Amino acid sequence: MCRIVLLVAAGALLCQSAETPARHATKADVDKWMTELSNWNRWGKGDQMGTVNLITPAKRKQAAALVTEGVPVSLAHNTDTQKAADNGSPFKLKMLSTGAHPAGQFVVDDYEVTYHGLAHTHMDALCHMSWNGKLYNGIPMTAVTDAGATQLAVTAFRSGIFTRGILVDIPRLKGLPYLEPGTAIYPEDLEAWEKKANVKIGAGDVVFIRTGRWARRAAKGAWDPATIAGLYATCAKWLKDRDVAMVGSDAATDVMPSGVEGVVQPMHQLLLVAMGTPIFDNTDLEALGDEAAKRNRWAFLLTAAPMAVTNGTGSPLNPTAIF
Amino acid sequence: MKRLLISALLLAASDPHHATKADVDKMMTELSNWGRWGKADEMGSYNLITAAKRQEAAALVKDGTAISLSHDALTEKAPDNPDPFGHKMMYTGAHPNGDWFMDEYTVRFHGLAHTHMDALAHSSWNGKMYNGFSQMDVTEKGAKELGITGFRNGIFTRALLLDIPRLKGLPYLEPGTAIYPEDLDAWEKKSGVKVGSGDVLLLRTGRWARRAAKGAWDPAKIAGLHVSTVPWLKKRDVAMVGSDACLDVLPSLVDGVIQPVHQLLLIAMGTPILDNLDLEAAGAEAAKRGRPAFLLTASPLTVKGGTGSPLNPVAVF
Repeated sequence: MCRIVLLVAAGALLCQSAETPARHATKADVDKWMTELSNWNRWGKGDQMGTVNLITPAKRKQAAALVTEGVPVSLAHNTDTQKAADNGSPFKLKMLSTGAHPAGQFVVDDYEVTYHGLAHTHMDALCHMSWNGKLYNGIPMTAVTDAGATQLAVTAFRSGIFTRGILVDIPRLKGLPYLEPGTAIYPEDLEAWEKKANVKIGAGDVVFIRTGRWARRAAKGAWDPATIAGLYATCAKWLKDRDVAMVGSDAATDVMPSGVEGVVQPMHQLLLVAMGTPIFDNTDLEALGDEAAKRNRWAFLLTAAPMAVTNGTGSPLNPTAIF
Repeated sequence: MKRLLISALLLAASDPHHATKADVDKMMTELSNWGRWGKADEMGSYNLITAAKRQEAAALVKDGTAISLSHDALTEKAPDNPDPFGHKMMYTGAHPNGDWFMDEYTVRFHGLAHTHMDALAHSSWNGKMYNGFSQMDVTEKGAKELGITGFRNGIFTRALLLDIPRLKGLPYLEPGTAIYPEDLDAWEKKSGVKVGSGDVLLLRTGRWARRAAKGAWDPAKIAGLHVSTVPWLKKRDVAMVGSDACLDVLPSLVDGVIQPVHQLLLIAMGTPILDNLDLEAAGAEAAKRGRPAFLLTASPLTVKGGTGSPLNPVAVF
């Protein structure tokens, strides 16, 4: 009896260690993946670009060949100047002169934006996040000073992102207008999408996950994004296996709450810190979804270039898809 | 004294480039694109970037090399930067927000420092903007028409780098140097490339090279296009024009008109402008390849009502 119990227990242990939990991960799992999925030193000790290195000149040439019609689609949401449940720091547009009070022949304005967070379309540079005091590639977080990020800043990507983009449209996969807040997306959803869309995500691609966040916001109004649809932590390994250059979504990429006790945004942590994969947050994928569906074509050329802010931790920007 | 005045007048009359405010006023009508793409059009010559033009431009990607045309955001006050880019760190390694670091950007992008795009709402003439829209439509809430979001789908077309210092065998042009139509003709002849419909013409004056060598100077004097080049640009039917300074030569050499090239492009022709690009790296790459044509990609921030946008245009060879 005692021996049987022991055997069963050992079997359960074996089972747990051999299989990646698809729908349940703990902080210990995420900690383990921080090493297992790491790209530290993969492109050298001094590397600042992480998986954007996978966008090679050859990859750019292939991506340019995706322009078969010459139809561009913006992936930026219009700047939101109204405070809302999901917009704690509205974009500020200050007119310094107007038609009634011009500056000579000119009118000019001033923009102010705290772009990180859940409202504004932006790119996260690799210095945006740390884990146990380290940034990507083992750089100490003290590299982020009052003068900005002295390493892993957004200017590492000043030459822009120019590669194949793939839209993963989960509401369309599930036959829904949008996902409900808190809906987790699992690796099997990504695989089901690949099958349905007849695409295979590969090295150097940028993957955009549509949750339908802006469609839901238009229909039901803004809500507290403490609950929002997105990728579950187990998707990190899947994305690593595919060796994507970047990941983006129309929300925060992570599902929230994360479903991993003690880790607020495991996807951000694994992508930015372990894998060195920059992220596009709060893109607007509604128009892109329609254009892609119309063509039943989910791959396109993606162009995006952050503002060249020395030492910046990211940038508001307007990624653009071209069919 | 009287004789001096007469000879000055004679000199002005004999200068083939001499233009007066009356000439510019006349060009405002002669070069106009108002109504060309319909009464309600808000995109002007950007309309010349057709789907077919985008396809042709994509084919210019031969080696997959990407080069930023943006200068780094300048956070230091200088004679050419009275409104430095504001970069405020909100959380740092010493004072993180959990595991996160964040910052805030503030930018008054128009002017002579920051790489930016001018939307068509940026300028007016006799109370009107491009296509006859009233300047009063730019209110405290922003531009009702002709705002930057008209270009939300971005610029994706052939760009040609007109490298005037290289044409003249100079590291950079001196402040106040005017560029004339014959310089543009000479460039076409030397490069064997003809500027055409829907192209973006990028003019290098070497401004940033000179700034690096000699420091910032008061841009009341800066190299750029003379107003006599505008009919040339209209004839070629370019979609947009950009430069590494403010496009116009300053002073403009036209009494009573501060920036005639801006006025003609933005208001008469509906041609958006890229100002303060950094064309040093692109100039070197183009020279290395002997190839001044490349794919240009640029997408402004989608600021509703905005009169322009800081941005990072990228050349892909």
